[in-house]
Amino acid sequence: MAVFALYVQSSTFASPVLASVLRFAQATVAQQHQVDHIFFYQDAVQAISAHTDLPADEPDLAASLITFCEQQHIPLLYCVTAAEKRGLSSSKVQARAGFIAAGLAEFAMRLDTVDQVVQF
Amino acid sequence: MKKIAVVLQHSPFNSALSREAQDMIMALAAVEHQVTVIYQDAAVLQLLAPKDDASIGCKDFIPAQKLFDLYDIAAVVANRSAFAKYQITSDQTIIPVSQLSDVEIADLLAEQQHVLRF
Repeated sequence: MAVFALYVQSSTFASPVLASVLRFAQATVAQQHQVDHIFFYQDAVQAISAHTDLPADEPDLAASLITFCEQQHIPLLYCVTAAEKRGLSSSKVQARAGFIAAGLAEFAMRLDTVDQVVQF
Repeated sequence: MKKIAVVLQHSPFNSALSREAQDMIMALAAVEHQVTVIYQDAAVLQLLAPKDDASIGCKDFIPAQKLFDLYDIAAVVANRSAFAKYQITSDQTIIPVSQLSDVEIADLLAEQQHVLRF
């Protein structure tokens, strides 16, 4: 069994990155490996917005990811500094329920116990 | 502690990518990982001090690379062909950088436990 960290930095709006992350996480768990956490940095912190209003015919991939990660007890972490700079997190703006504020230091420390980092 | 390479591939000021990459480098080094920084392609431009930093329009994070030494970054290397492509000489860079061939960089990457690309 291998322990994976999924590191996401691509724009979640401009690319289908959340679908790729979800598929990879599902495949990892299905093959009896472990996802230690999923970490959002750079423009990928868009995913945490609680105010995204998608048209009815577009899939809410962040919701799918939250549901899967809650079932599997996989922490969905985001860099709070990157989110604050982009106006996605503050004392007045809450992140979407299911995402957990973290720092780069926490991500860095978690890498100690991870076999593979997969970057999206 | 893991051996982690951070591969930089982009010019410094066109986006937040390179600036936030530097924050990641510092965070990784601060928790005692053995970090190797590799400058490839246009990222070698990050090694030059801006001539007029008032006109960049964003934070000048270039001087902070001098902290790599303080943070005990294990190695700072650059792709030799990128230096040639951008006509940069070793006396122009704000920090000392070892110039390596593509093959040497491939060998260095093969030694790492994790690789992050920016």
